[in-house]
Amino acid sequence: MSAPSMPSWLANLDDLLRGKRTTRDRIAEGLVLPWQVHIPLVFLLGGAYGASAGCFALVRTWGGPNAADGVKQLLAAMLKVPALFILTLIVTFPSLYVFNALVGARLGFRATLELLLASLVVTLAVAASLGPILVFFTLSTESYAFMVLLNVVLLAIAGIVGLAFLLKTLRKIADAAAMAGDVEGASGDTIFRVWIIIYGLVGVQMAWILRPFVGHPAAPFGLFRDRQGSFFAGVIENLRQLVN
Amino acid sequence: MSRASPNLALHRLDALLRAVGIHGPDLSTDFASRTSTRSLSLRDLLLLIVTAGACYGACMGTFAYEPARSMLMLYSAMKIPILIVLTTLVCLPAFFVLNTAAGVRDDFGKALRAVLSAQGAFTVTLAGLAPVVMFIYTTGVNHRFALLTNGAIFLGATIVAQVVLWARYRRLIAANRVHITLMACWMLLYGFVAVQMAWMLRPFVGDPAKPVTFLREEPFTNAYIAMLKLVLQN
Repeated sequence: MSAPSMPSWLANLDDLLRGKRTTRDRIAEGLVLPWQVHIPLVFLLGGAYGASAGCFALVRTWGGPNAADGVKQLLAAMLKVPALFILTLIVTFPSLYVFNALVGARLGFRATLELLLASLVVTLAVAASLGPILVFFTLSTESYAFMVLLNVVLLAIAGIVGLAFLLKTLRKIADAAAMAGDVEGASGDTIFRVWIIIYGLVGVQMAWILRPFVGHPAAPFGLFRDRQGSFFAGVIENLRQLVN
Repeated sequence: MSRASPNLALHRLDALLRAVGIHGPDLSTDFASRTSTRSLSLRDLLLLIVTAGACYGACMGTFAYEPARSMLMLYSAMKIPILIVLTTLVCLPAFFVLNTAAGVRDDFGKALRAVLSAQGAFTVTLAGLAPVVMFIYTTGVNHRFALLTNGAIFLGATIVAQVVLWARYRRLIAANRVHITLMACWMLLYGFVAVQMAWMLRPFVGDPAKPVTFLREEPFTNAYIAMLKLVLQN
């Protein structure tokens, strides 16, 4: 249903989400996942999710003496969400590339990077679509801890969908290669699975150093917080505060 | 066109209810073909949800009725459709993107119809039980028992809606098993948001000791935190 009036970036996103870009036929012809389109999409969709997350600070400080801090927090969150995903990719991609090269994987440097970028776009599209739920709870929730935990859960859901896309596409690539009689190259399936764990751990810790995303309504605006503690300790602390 | 005879009106109502039932419009019995049970448009489905929901809401608002409190009937009649429609709107973007990402975007129309049919079934069940709630009110129960009765009726309607949802999704699931996950996603998202939405839209059954208001005067709070505190304080 891609109407002719649909702008090309939206049509591109639509095709990607529907899996039209990663059908077996397309893969057999050679996968095309243009980074020139996907990097702006990461910023657009991540910005949309970041705006939903930053809404909490805006709503809680609105009309008060700290209203400017709320606006700053919203803008910061819009930049921080895409930055979180891109920076995590930059930190973890070299290891994936090295592992892949060591086992003689089929996908080259650029193809791997483009596939991962496409997975990020899928992840952030799901996250952005969960934004309305976040905004809805923002309007009625005073508890900062609840909002932080809700963000963790929603981003986890988005991450799972993005990973499912990644693994499904990898399987199709392996199938396509098998059909073409290429038995030499490794699919790198196992490596991707191990790498996902690395990516996840780096990702949560990256989120930890980039915080605050939601912004504590009582705290003055600061781009970053002191580097102490860890993501997991933070989650437990927020769970504890939920009941106090 | 002349006005429909009572008999025809009844048949139309019957057809409408069947259209949101477990078989949906596909039931090819004699009765169905006679009453031309056919697929409801999304607009008709929405109209049904709003009308039936408002009917129940109006009855729900008659607790401890006296003319000075008649606005409560109007408020509750507005709030039940608002609860259902607004919750759907909040969850719909995520449901749409999840369906797309799961590769079943072409089925989205059917999935949406299944979901709205389940909501239609929910509201017609409520409307059907409206006389029951009014009867319970007339037996002179207190506010707490009135809340409990409504809670039980909502639970019953939720079960009916689940049955319809499963039945409507059966064909989709048979075609592609990913629809099971998507249906579960919808139920989780919808339930999560609906609880909070209902909490924000309180009161549905006005407490006779409190003045008549559309919403509670205190600012919005979070339902889940309120529940957690309730559990931990005891």
